Amino acid sequence: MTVVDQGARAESEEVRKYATVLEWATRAGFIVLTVSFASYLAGWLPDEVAPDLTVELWRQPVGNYLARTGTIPGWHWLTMLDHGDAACLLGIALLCSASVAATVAVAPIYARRRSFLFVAFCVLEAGVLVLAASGVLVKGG
Amino acid sequence: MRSGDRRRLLQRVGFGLALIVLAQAAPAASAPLAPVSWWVWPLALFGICFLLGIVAVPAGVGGGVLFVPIVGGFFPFHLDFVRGAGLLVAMASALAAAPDLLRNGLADLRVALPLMLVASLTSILGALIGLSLSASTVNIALGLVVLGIVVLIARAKRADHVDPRPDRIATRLGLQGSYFDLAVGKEQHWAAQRTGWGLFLFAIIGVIGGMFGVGAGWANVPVLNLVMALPLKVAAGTSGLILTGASASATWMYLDSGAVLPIVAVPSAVGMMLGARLGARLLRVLPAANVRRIVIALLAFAGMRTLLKGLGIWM
Repeated sequence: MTVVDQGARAESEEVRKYATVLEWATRAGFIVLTVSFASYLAGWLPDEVAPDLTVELWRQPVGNYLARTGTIPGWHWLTMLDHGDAACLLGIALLCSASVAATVAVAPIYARRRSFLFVAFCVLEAGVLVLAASGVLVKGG
Repeated sequence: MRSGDRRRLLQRVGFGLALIVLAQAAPAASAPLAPVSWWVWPLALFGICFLLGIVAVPAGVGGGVLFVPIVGGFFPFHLDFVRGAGLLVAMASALAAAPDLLRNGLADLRVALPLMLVASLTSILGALIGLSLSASTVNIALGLVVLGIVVLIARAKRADHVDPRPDRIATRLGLQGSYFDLAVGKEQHWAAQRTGWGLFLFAIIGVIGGMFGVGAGWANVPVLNLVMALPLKVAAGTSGLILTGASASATWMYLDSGAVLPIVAVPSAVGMMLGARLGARLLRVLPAANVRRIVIALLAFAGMRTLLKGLGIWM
């Protein structure tokens, strides 16, 4: 069985929009990720945690790793973007945000069509991802 | 040499190389680190994940489900960091493929959105559970889950018969579509069935994916195809689209907890993506059935290793 067409839905406005936003957000994430990781490997940027120390501690649970390296979990890395390893986390965060951007982008299209259930799905999905990203749940708050 | 002989030789060489790599890596996971330069590890991860990416496509499984048991069982990283990287691997692979799948009609946005919402929500719960358990408990549970996945993959059936009548929820949500089937030369219509069951099963899949960092392609496709009656190719494409959101929520949880180490996660994700692209191109020449058997054998070995590690029998 070969699928070559999914009918009108494959070409619908929301599908085009979702695919385009997802693609560009993913590209942006990968560019930041690869450039920052290359900088980290090449030593062009200073490290928050030296690779040798990371290698020494990566057998231990994350709690021990954080305690030994003095790394602050959550969004602290955002203040350390001039460090190679922290800059890599920006690329990862951009990739994690790609589907938020895509769902937010298609919500107005569903609203215009009065598909309010799908507007709700988009808003809730974005809300769930923002909640996960916020760090509130991890800190026990 | 005939092409059949060449293929068999290629398979044996590939399987032999995989076993040699794993046999070499297993003692390294428990013994003190040899004095090797730190950059050897990201390079090794890139190489292994590149190979895993090549075999994942013809074997019909996602990268995350191969990554976590194999890297967790045979590399020296703590399972917290392996799971964080596994989620990134699953998400990055899905993100790379999703836009084209959507444009080609092989992923359905309306089907994906409600299922993605449920799986994203429960992935958070899974991540919270997974991060609160001890490594040995997670290893035992992961070993059992991976061995269960091996049985599921080995016995997986496919349903190509589609029923164009949607159930009540699918009618309300408009979960139906059509595609042109070249085999019979006509437009085929499909509609989602048992949508309530699908939502319930995706809630469970989300918990497992977040807890073990294994992604969820191994479970998404059977649920979409066998339970919700989507055609197999639409099920596979939609599964990837769902993963872009479901894996993202769990990845955020691991990232916020400090369990995503760039030195482990980045080369793994990039290696897996490049390997998967090559695997997709080699799909026509690689003997998919035999690659699938090799992957099942590797997963069974890695699952057993993870279980025994958790039980303290094979450290």
